This record gives sequence, structure tokens and C-alpha cells, in this order.
Amino acid sequence: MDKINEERIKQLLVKHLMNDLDSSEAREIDEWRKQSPSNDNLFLRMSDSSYLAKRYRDFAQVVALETTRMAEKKSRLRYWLWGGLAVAAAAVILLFVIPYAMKPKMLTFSSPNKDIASLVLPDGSKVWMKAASTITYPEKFKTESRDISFTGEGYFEVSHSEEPFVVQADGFKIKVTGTKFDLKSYRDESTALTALIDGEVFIIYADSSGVQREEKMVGGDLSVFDKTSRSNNIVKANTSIYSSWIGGVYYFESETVENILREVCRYYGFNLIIDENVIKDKILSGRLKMSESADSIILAFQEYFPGHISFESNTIIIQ
Amino acid sequence: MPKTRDDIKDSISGLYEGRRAFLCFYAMRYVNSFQEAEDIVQSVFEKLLSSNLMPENLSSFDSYVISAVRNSCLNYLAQKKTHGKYSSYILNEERPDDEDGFLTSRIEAEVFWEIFSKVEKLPEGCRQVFRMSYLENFSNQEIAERLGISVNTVKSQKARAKELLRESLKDLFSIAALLFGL
Repeated sequence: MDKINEERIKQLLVKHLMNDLDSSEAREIDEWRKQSPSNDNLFLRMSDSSYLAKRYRDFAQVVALETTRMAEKKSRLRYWLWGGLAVAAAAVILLFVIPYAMKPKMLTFSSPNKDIASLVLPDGSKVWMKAASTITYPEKFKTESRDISFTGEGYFEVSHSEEPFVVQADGFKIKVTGTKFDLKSYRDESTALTALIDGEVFIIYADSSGVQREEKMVGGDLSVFDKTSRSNNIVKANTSIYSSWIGGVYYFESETVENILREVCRYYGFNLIIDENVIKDKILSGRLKMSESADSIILAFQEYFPGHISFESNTIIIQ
Repeated sequence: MPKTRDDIKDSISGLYEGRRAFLCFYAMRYVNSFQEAEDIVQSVFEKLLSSNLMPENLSSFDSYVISAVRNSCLNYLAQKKTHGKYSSYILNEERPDDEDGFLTSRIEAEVFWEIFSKVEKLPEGCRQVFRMSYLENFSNQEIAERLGISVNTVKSQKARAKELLRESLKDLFSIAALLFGL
């Protein structure tokens, strides 16, 4: 196939996926399919909606990781630029712009798969991070507020101080002065959960009409933030179970099989493929010891749902 | 002007930065996880950097890199003992030296990449609905329940998403076709 044909075929495939082929174009693509088995296979593959869904998930994963990388790179670059400027114009800066040139270095830390990581921030606050979570924080906090950003799931023990501690999550902020809470905010999930163990925090976000809102939570409150509708719902809950994972135990109460397995996959770095809707919405409560081998956890699910769960090459398949 | 080793290394690294995301996406057609895909893409580039190969022409070099990634993936799959649903299918269908298989795999990845990139640029509300409907196969009823909106809103968001997408995909690939006099 030469370049012209190749571009034409791409164009027809796009139209086909959008359901926009007219009859002469449909004939054109039929002709092309007959030219080789590879062409025909390509056409069938791209028309398979479960394959399309799988490739879209691949795409979303690549893009999410790439975006995180770019953000890290930018913050490094900014620091480096400021560093260069500081040397070149040392005298001037000493006199006038020291407060601006002292932009703190941003640090980024991602927890590995199959592991819980913990770290102590510059103000003495402690953060426990579940597998595949990322935190970005300055080497030294500003004087007026302690700003960090976070994706994934983390348990925070914020040291008490006048300056607010502000967590930038996906689409909203959490402002606290000193307390313990668990934040679950994954980019690929449409809701984010904040479970407050004690003390008080504020959830800050812009609602769907763009109005800035600040809602207060007290100990025992659970905030469910819906990223799509940009709404926040605060309910009473047994919030202490939300931090149980620090001890290597994952408690779940009335959780869907899909969400539980998603959690297991995240922890062990597996993929999840859902082929069938029958059991994914079934509700379970219980606990899983994450320190046990993945095999024994999967086996437990296989025994519970015979014939519905399979596992091969790092992928759990619900069928 | 003769290029030095460092120049070559610079241009390969530059290319790697720009193409890494696409190449990882391409490799994920073959392997099961992003980690595996990234490792393969990385090692292909490391091999390129340590070889004396010089990219003469960027478009043929790109094609060369994609085929190197594909071959690494196929070799990797052949060595693995267990296979996922799609990778076992691929092992039966594709051979490293099969030109047609390579070309179609590349076309597929490029078409998906372009469409998905455009989907990502849709306004938030219709992106979510479009994604759940066309890419994740949820019914209108299911989408309405999950997002807490009415079925009619789902329908209108779908129509809007499709219209916007059709508009943004209109010129895709046709510019190239124009240049080649089609």
C-alpha cells in the first residue's frame, strides 16, 4: 500500500468508526478488505467494541502517566531556570527579588506497586501512600500555607500549625489545620472520597456553575465528591475503616465486586478486564489481607464466583 | 554537514520524548501492561542510542522505530508462557517479518490515537458520556444512573459529542491525502 492509499484508508476507518460511511465509501472499504487477510483482520478488530474499549483504556493510561511526567519535568525546569537567573543577576536579586527567586524545589514521589510507602513532609506531617499513588510537595513550605498535590489514595496525619495544609486533589482541594484523614482520588475514577477520622477539614471546589464552595467536615464525616457533576455530598460513616489499609488490611463495606477487584489490581499492578456485567455489580463486605500473595486472593474470588473470574498474565478477567 | 555522535544522540532523544506516549500505546496492543510496554520502548531506544545508526529521514526512521518496537513485543510474547485474550490471538496472526501485519497494526494504532486524542479534547460533560457510551459500551440508562443525569441529557450529550468529534476529525488524514494529490 502506498502513502496515498494509506491515508485514504485511515480516513475511511475513522468514518467507519463514526458510523459515517456513505455507500460508495462502504464499497471502497469492502474492496480494500478483500485485498489481504491482514486488511480484513484490521477491519474486524477495529469494529469489535470490546477491543475498542480495551484500547481506549490503554490510551487513557498512557496519557495519564505522560501528563504526570510532563508536570514533573516542568517543575524541575522552572527551578533550574530560577537557579540560572539567580547566579547571573546575583547582585540585583540580593537587593530586590530574593523572595521571588527563592522558589522552592518541588519534589515528586510515587509509591511502587505492591507496597505501601510512607514519608514525612517538611512540616513533620506524615503521609502513607497506597500502591501507585503520587505526591508532589515543595522542599520547603511557604510561610502562608502548606500546599501539596496528590493523586491515588493516601492517609494523612497533618501536624498542627496556624498555616493551613492544602491538598490539591483531582478537581477539588482539602484544607486542614491539623488532623487525620484518608483521601482517595484516582484520576480514572469519577468520584473521590475523603474520610475524616477526627478534627475538621474543608472541601473547596468550584461547582458546576463555577461558584466557589467551601464545605466543612467534622470527625466521622465522609465526603463523596463527584467530579462529573462537580458536587460534594457529606455523610456520616465508619471512617476509621478507610485507613485500615495502612496495616496491610483492606476493609470494604457494601462495595461492588468491580471496585474491590479494581483495588486489588491497583495494589498488585494488575490489569482488569470486564467481559460480562453479571457479577461486577454484586455487593460484598469483608476484608482482604493485602500482604498475602495475590494468588490466594484471586483464588478466594474464584471460589466465591465459580467460573466468573480468571487470571492470566497479570490480568484479572471478570467474565 | 556531517553529524557528530552527540548530534545523533540528541535527535534520537528528542524523537523519543515526542513519540514515547504513542509508542507505549502501540506496544500495549501486544503486551498486557503499561510497565511492560514502557520497558520495551525504552530498551528499543537504548539499543538505538548505542548503535551507530543515524536517522537520515525522520519519517522512515519513525517507521523503523515502530517496527523495532513491534518486533521486540512479538519476541517478548513468544518467550512468555501465559497469554492474555488478545495477545494469544496476536501470536497466531502476526509474524515479525510480515509486512502487511506491520502496516495494518500501525494504521490501527494511528487511527485510534487520533480519535482518542480528539475525544479527550471534548468538553467535560460530553466527553464522559461519549466515553461511557461508545468506548465502554454502557447503555443510555446505565450512563444516566451512574452520572445522576436524565436519559434525555445522555442522548443530547451523545449527539453533541458526535457532532463536535465529526467536526474535529473532518480534516484528519485528508490534509495528507491532499498533499499527495488525492
